[in-house]
Parts: sequence; structure tokens; C-alpha cells
Amino acid sequence: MNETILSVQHLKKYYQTGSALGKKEIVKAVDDVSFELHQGETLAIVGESGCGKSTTVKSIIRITEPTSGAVILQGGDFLKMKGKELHEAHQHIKMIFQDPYSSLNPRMTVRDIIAEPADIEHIWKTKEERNQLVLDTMAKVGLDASWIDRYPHEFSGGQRQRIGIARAVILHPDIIICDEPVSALDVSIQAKIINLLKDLQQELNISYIFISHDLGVVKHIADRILVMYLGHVVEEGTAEEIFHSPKHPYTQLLLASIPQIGIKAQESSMFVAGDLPSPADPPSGCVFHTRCPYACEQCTHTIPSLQSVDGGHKTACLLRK
Amino acid sequence: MKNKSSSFYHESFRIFRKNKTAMISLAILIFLIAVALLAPWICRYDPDAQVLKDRLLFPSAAHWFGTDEFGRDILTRCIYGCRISLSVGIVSQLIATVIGYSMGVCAGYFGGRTDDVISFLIQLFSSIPFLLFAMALMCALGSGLVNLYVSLGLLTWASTARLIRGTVLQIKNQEYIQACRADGGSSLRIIMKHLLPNCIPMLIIAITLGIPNAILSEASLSYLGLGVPAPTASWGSMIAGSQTFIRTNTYYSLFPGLCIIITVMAFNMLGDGLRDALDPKMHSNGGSL
Amino acid sequence: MTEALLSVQDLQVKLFTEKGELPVLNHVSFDILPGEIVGIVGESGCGKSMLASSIMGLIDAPGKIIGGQILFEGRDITKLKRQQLQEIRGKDISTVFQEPMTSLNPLMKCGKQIEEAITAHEKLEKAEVKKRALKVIKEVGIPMPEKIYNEIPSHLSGGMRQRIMIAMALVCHPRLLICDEPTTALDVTIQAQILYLIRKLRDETGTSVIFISHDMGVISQMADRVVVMYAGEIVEKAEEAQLFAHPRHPYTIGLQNAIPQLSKDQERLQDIPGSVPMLDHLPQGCLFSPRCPYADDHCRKEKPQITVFDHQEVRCFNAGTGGIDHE
Repeated sequence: MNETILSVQHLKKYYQTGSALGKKEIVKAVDDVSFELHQGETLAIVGESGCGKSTTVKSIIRITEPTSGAVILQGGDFLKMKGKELHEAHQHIKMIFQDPYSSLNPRMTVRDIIAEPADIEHIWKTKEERNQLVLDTMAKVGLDASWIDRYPHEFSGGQRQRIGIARAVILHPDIIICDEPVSALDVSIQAKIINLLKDLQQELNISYIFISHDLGVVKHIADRILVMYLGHVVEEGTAEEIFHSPKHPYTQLLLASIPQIGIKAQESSMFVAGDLPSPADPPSGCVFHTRCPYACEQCTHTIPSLQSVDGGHKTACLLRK
Repeated sequence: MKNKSSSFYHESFRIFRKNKTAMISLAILIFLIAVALLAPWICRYDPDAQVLKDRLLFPSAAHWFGTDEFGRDILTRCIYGCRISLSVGIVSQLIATVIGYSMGVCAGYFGGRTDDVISFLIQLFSSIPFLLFAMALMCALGSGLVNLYVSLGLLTWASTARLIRGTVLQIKNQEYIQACRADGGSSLRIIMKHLLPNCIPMLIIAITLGIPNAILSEASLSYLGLGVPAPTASWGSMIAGSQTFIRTNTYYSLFPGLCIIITVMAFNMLGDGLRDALDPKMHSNGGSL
Repeated sequence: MTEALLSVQDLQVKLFTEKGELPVLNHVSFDILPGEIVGIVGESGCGKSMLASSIMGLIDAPGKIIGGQILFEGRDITKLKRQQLQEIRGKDISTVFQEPMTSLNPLMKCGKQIEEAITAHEKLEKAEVKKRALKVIKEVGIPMPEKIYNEIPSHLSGGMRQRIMIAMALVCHPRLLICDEPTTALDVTIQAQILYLIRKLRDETGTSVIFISHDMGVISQMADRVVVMYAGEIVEKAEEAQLFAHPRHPYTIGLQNAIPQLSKDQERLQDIPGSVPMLDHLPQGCLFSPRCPYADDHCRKEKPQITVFDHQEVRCFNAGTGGIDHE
């Protein structure tokens, strides 16, 4: 097993909503999430709206500050780092965003957008160095050098996503968090970007945390998978384990719901089941019990913890062990 | 990929050029600014010197706009009044914009209690009856040009702040702002490098549309004797002085009045044209569906 | 042979812009039989939404229908006046859109909105109208009809809102239902529920469905027959099973290969080189030729017409010649 380069421990992000005078609600967007990322692997986090996957990664990289928990990176707790140590650590973990139309500043040229991480860390000493850095990175992601002074609106969705990838890759980070990087792209462009991400991983030895709601893409790219539901991790395992022997009823529901070419969906009792509960008002006990065909009395008041069923394959379910 | 790169401002200028009303307003304003700057060289008369033998003359070849009750050439005083009005308009709006941007950006970006405090201030300054407060401020500070700049600037920053706060609230959740934070960018960097450039179009429009109001306010204050002190020429004080003679020497109030109307209209139309040109939705986008 | 419910014949739609005339739909022809689900699949810019709008009579300046016919039960709806179109819309032909919040009034009670859909076309007693509304809310699988009748859409989840949209669309028993990416904005488990619901309603009421999506998996689930569109043209038409088992058009083949599928293990996804052409820069000859691995000079000079192979229609010169391999 490769070494662990990132360790997330008991991460929590709670939001308080409600007006100053009205009723205050606590939304538990991320509720006690722990996992590890190993060198060179792609760890996918899957789940539907409200599961907390986006909030989890945004808390890890400190776009929002988590309520509690630790993120062990480069030997220290990233969440507690300050000043020089923090800047040093920022070079090792970067992020690629979902929306190619809002992830690039419309008033900045391609050159400035890609160079920004290097600017923030004061990596370069001369303008020539900066330019060369940008040009090298553009070549790596398949962007033509002549486009360096153009503006984002002149590019297509797929090309913009490449610019975003260039920005993430310029400092050769160890870890890149990909937050639904291909969801907003057409199918034929998705394939190009996924292939690019895989190539970069090989070339630069990057580890990915890959968020997606599209299980087809996840199966293609992921080594290990975390399944999240309403702020909790409900199952963890290798891609093989998750797709061929899912243990958690939610994972099973998710897999059964995917429309596949050439395979007509079976009518299932799961299809009649209810809506996704709101994270502001989660069910008691096991958060999935309201939609679970196997739920029993115990499930309504006991929160199951993530337990190993078979080596690294873990699930959080009282009944399926 | 098109052959020529087009920055946002190139595209804006292209759209602006097509708007005839806006181009005419721009021409008028350039003319007025030139006239104001060149005043000492183009005016035949001294704006303040009294020539009592030439009191209240009707417009003639010697005095295109006639003379006032002290024999001063009205055209000259209108031109010098233009300097006052333009400088008050522009400087006070620059002050208002700097204050407004800073307050608006802090409220929008930092949120929380900062936002609560600043929003309260915005509400407060928006609710004050403007002229009353301007009068009070000028009484306290004493009349004078610099005091006028400061008072008007202090009283009109609120609308810019509100506008900027709204814009920042929208922009701050854009992913490129999040990307900068994820890269370890400081708040200062985000405010100056990411938020400001995206707010500049709005600031340009806010200044352009704020100037006419500032000019009218100055005119009102000077009319009430609280603006620039006599004998300095100001369109407002000229109108005040012309009141007694409104039936007999109508030209005396007509010309300063026209100056105000033309200048205010020109700025308003320029502002409208700029608003259209700087609106990103009006920019062309290729022919795809 | 059964009479087609809807017959689109040689439809041409253009957009009149300052860049010139952009051909949005080019000689589009297909039929729908009663009770059939026809899937229209294609990526962005292929014209599938314009097609839906044309059928609903919703094309407005700068777009214009400049040729062809759309025969609904024998009547050419492209020639109908606004008044007549309003009578058909919602009653004989209904639409379900991708984003329910653009068609639902977020602050008006759901029940009231459904009732408005009824009273726009039928004159009934108030009590009868309410009864129909509650009935249709139940039919779309909502467990507590009375409760949801009194709710406003902004309090409902995405899946519930979509069910309300479907209820509104079906309440007057239309003969044709157009679904324009109805599940694209929904989570996958909710999507499965909605897809199942649409199929069930078709089975129970015999309504024909035009199902538009960019997702081939969804199209495969839903459609009896499939129409593949590219840059405003139909490039392939076939029964669902046949299309996915033996795609003939290089674009269809390319799309299928680009999609990572659960059943296949692929090292590398095959992408389609290039990108969809801009409408003001359409290639000469076959519109797909710049990106087609099988294109030759003939393809680049001349526009292919539809040829039929064994009930499968393809717009390609090389389709039947055995020169194209599917995997």
C-alpha cells in the first residue's frame, strides 16, 4: 500500500441558518468524515445533492473553514497552519472547479489566470521565468501557446476547463481536488478532459480526490471510492468492491438507478421510495433509514459507524456486515 | 478562435461608438471640459471685476450673453461657473466612489458584523434629507470649494456602496474567487485583483450618473448662498442673483439655466450609453446556440 | 400501418441575426406513432430544444420556421394562428421542461396552478376541478396529495417539483408529451423515479412521448425509437435496441465510445476530435466530416442524404459500405 499523503480526521462543517430573531437551524453539511488519500491514487467521492461531498473538499482546502476536525498534510494539521508554513502547504494541494464559465476571472488573460498560484507563492524572479512557466504548463494541458493573451470568453467550455487545469497544475502539486470537473461539459469533450487528467496523473505523479455524481466516469477513473449521504460516509472501498459487491443499501440504490445503455431498468421497490431528505432536517439514527428497504427499529435511533466488512471495504450499516 | 483578441473594454468601446446619443454627449462634455480648462485664455473679461457703467446690458456683440447687475460679463461667468460645476461634480464623485467602494466591498466580502455595521451606515446616509444635511454641513464647515467637495462626497457615497455591496455579494461566490482562496490568496488580493476589476464598469457608471446630481446640488446650495462664496461665479448663485431681474432681464437666468440643463443631460446620456456598452450581456458571443 | 400522431416533414428553422441567417434545423423529418416514446439525443447546439419549441409553436423572432410542415393529427401546426396554438398547447400537446422553477410560479400553491391548467382548456365546476387536480397529483406518485395541493413550489424538492410539472402537463390528457431534458437537473436516484413514472404513465394512458436528452443511458431506458441529431440535422434514426447494438453513423459510434459505461472496462475513453461547428461556420459537405475518422473527399464536398438500411436510417455516404466498424 502506498504511503498516506493526506489524512482527513473527523471533519465537521455545521452551518447556522435562520435570522437573528427567528428560529436558528443547524445544518450538518459534513458530519464526522474521516478518510485517507494514498500516493498516486484517485479517490472518488460520490453522492447526491446534500451529501456534503463538495463541502467536504472545500473545507479540506480551506475555502470555507470547517467547524472541527483535522487535515494532516505535509506532516502537520493544514487547518491549523499559518503564515509561511501555510503558504508552503498550499503549493501541495490544488483544486479544479466544476463550472468552466465561473471558474475563470473574465477580466484576466489566460497568462495571468494560470500564473496566479505562482504569483501568490512568489515562485518566479523575472517576467521571463513567469512566462516560461505558463507556456510550459499550457503545453502540458494541450493549450496553444498563441492563446496566452486571450480572455476566457473567447474559449469553449472544454478549453476553459483546460485553463483551470493548467492553473491547478502549474506548481506541480501532490494532490489535486477535482470538483465535478467534467459535469458541465458535453460528452465528447468530457472524454478528452478525463483522458487529460489521467495523463497528467501519470506524468506528474498526482493523487486525485475526484468528486462526481456520474458513476460511469467514477468507475473509469477511480481506484477507491467513498459514498456519502447527508454528510456521512456510508461506504468506502476499492472501485471493484463498490461496483461489484456494494454493501450499503444506499450504494445499492445508487447503482441500480444508473441508466445504462442496452439494459432496461428493473422495476424496483426502491424506485417508489421517497425524496432525499434535507440536510437541515436529517432523519434520526441512521440517516438513510427513511428510504431503506431493510430498515428496522434499531436503525431509527442508532447512528451506525463505519466498520470494516472486508479489509479496506467499510460500510456504515447496522445490518449489513 | 477569432483572429483578433478582444478585451472587455475594446468590445465596450465598439458598442459605445454605435450609440449616437452617447457619442454626441461625449462630444459636448469634451467641449465643456476644454472650455473650462482654457477659461483664462479664452475669456475676454474678468469674471469678478465689477464694471458698474455696463450694468444689465442685453446680449450684444461685445457681451454675447449680456451683463449682470454688477456689469460682469455673463458669458465669462458662465464659463467660470462651468469650472466650478465640473470640478465639484467630478471631485465629489471621486471622493464618494472611493468611500463607497471601500465600504461596499468590505460589507459584501467580509459579511457578518462588518456587513451589519456598514449596511446600517448605508441606510442612515440614504435616509438623510440630502439638502438639509448639505446645508447643515456647509454651515458648520463654512462655504468654500474644498468644503463643497467634501460635503457632497460624504453625503453621496451610500448609493455607490449599496451597488458595490450587491455586486460583490454576487461575485464572491463565483468559482474564480474560490479558486484564489484555495490557492492561499489573501483577502486584500481578492479585493484588489479580482473584485475591483469586475466592479470598475459599475463604478464608471456610478460616477457618471452621480455627477449630474452633484452639479444640481451645488447649484442649489450656491443658490441658497451656502455653496461657493461670492463673488465667485457659479451657475447656482447666478440664478439666485437673477431672480430680481427675471422679468426685465430674462437672459440673466436663462443662460446659466441652460448651462445646467445641457451639462446635466449630457452626463446622464453619457451614463446611459456607458451602461449599455459596459453590460457584459450586450457583448457578442459567437453564433452558437 | 398505424397513422402517425405527429409527423415532422422536412422542417427548416433559421435564426436571423446580425451575423446572417443561421440554419438551426435543417430538413428534419420524423414521425411519432400513438403510444410511442421517441428519444431525441444529441449534444448542445444540435437543435433538439429548437425542435421541441417548433412543435409547441414557440418559435419567435429572431427564429423563424421557413420550410416544412409539422402535422399533428393531420393538421399543419406551423400554419396555425396564435389563438389556435394556445388551444392545442397544454391540452393536446404538453411540455415538461428541465427546470421546473421556470414554468412554475414559485409562490402560488401547486393545486391552484394545476387547476389553472385545467380551466384554461375545459369548463368545469370548481369542485370537479379540484377533484381532478388531486387525482393527477396522486397519479404522479406523490404520497400525500392534499398536503402537496396546498404547498408552494419553492418549498418542494427538485423531484417533487418535476412531478408537479408532469401533473400539470398531463392533467388535460394530452396525446403528445414533450419532455425536454426533464431529469438532467435531478439526482440520479430521483431521476430513476421520474423516468419510471413517465414510462408508467405512457403505459396507462397511451400518451406518446418525445423524450429529449443528451444522456444516452437515459435515452436507452426510455425510448422505443431513437433519433440522433447533430448540428441541426438528423444523422441517424432507428429502433432503440438496434441503434445501440449496431450504430451506423460515425457520430453515434463516437458518442457511444466516449461514454464511460459500467459494463465496459476501458483504459482510455475515445473522444471525438474537434468540436461542434458554429452555426455561422458550417462545413461544406457533410457537417460531421471535419471530425469523422472515415471521411473522404466525397464526404467533404457533398451533403449526404438519408439512406435506409434494414429499418435504420443514416445520413452518411459510408454507412452501408462495411467501411465503418463499431468497436
